Formats: sequence, C-alpha cells, structure tokens
Amino acid sequence: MNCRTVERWLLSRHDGRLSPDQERELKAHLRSCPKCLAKENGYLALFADLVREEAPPPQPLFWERLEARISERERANGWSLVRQFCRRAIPASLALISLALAAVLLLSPRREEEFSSSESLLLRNENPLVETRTLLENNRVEDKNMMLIFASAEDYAPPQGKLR
Amino acid sequence: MEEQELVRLSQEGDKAAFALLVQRYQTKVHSLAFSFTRDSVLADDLAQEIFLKAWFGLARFKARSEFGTWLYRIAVNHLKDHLRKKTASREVSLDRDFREIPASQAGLPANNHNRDEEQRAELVRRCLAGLPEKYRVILTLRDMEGHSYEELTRLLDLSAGTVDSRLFRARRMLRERVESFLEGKRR
Repeated sequence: MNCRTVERWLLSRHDGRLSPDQERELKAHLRSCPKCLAKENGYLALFADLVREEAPPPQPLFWERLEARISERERANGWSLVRQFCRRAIPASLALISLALAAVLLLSPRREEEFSSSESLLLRNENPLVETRTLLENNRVEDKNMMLIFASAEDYAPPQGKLR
Repeated sequence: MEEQELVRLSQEGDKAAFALLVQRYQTKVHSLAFSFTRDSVLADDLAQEIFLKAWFGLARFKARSEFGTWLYRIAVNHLKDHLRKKTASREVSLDRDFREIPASQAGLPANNHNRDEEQRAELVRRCLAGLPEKYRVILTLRDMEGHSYEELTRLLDLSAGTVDSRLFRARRMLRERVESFLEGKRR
C-alpha cells in the first residue's frame, strides 16, 4: 500500500465510504508510517476548522424587499419588450410599405395608349391623307379653317408634362 | 399547501404563492450564500438575486426534479459567477490579508487556546477563499454545507467520478496551502 492511496483512503473514511477491510489495512499503515499519520492529523484539524460557521438570519423584510425588486425588474422588462418590439417593428413595417408600393407600381393596369386619328387610321390600314385631302378640298374657307383647327387640336395636343 | 401546488401557482404568476416558497427556502439560500461570502449583507443581496432569477426562470422549471434542488442549482451557479467576478477583480493574498483577530472581536474569552483555534480557523477560511473556484465550490458544499455525494452530482451537474476526484484534489490543495503557510510562519 503506497502513501498516495492512503491519502485517498483517509478522505474516503472521513466520508464513510471505506469498507471494514480497507479500514483495517489503513490503520495498519498509519501505525507504521509517521508521514501518513501527520497527514491524517492535518485533515482532522482541517475538517474541524471547516465546520460551518453559524450563518446569521437574512436581513428583515426579505420578501418585501424581494417583491419590490421583482416589480422593478418586471417594469424594466416591460419597457425592454416595447423597445425590442419597436426595434424590430419599424424596419419590418418600412419593408412592408416598400413592398406594397412596388406591388402597386408593378401590378396596376397600364393606361392604354391613346392614338391620334392619323395613327388610328394607319393602324386600321387606311390612308390618313384621304381625310386631310377632304379637309383641304372643302370649298368654304371658314369651314376648312375650323376643321383644321379641330384636327390639329385633336392630333397634336402635347402631353401635359411636356409643356414648356 | 403542497410545494408542487405552490410552484404551479407561482408559475401562473401568483406572487403570494412564491412568497411562501421564499419563506421556506430563504434561510437555506442565505446560509449557502453566507458560506461562500462570510458577509451577511452581501449574502442577503446574493440570496435576493437568486430568488429573482428563480422567479423569472419559473417558466423553465419542469417538475422532473424537486423545486429545492432546482433552486439550489440556481444558487450554486449564481454564487460561482459571483466568485469568478470577485476573483477576476481581486486575488486573495494571504500574506497581506491574514491578520490576527482580537479575541474580544470574535466574541471569545481572551484565552490563548481559543485565540489560536480561531486564528487557525480564520486561516483555513482564507486559504479556502484563495482556492480556484471549482475547488472552493465543491469544498464549501461538501465540508461546510454537508451535502452528500449524490447531491453534489446533481447540484454541480458532474459525474460521481468527477465529484470524487475534484473533492480529493480540493481537500489536498487546501491542506497543503494551510500547512505551507503555517510552516512559513514557524520559520
């Protein structure tokens, strides 16, 4: 039996985890080994010193003080939840608004392009000059002028944004 | 009222039920904190923080273990954190801190034998405070608080073998430190 094992056994004996055979073997070793005996005395003194000091009772009004701290923490937690919510909700709502705008722009029905009467005639594969000729060949000057004015107003009305 | 019922009501936010649980455990938790700090005011503050953690963690408590064991685990972890922070901010120096305690202050008759015993006990406590946190915790729980090996495995979440070997190393380290300090004083 070596002295290192004895040290383990000394501590096991203190914890009541040593078998009777081991106990006998340990005692025999301690009788013959002053070094291990000194260790045993060292441990016995140590355990006596380690015996728990009598703890004083908690300070008065323990629960009342604790309850106040709980309420304070709950309030703080409430605010932090609101802050947390805002931190997440603001970017999320901005993203949603952007998406909605993009969707409106992309999915709104396009306004059908309006064609001038000449373009309409060309698209219908008809000759726009025929109409012009009819205007020009009109005998009455007043009628001809009026028809020209209406035709030009109809054909060349510029889009509002392009007015200078 | 049964403890399980009190726990259930507390989980539903019933502070009166939690107050009863606190009343049941406050002395034990305070006493545990005092074993680690040896300062009644600090122990009181730590005990309050432990119960605060318990209140806000009640939703996570499943009735797989006893409420007392669960609470003690919170307490041990909180005290370990406290020791870590304290060790990081200030190393315990025996040579600088260890002073003779007047017998009158310790409430003892001014008798040499008692004074020697008190001084030695004080030295042991200071050596204990200077041990690495994991050794200090296991020694306090076992040799000061008297927890069994089985309780230590549950409280510290360690295997039985680890508890055994860690406790052995802790005790040996403490004995060696105390003896080397006493030898140094004798020289």
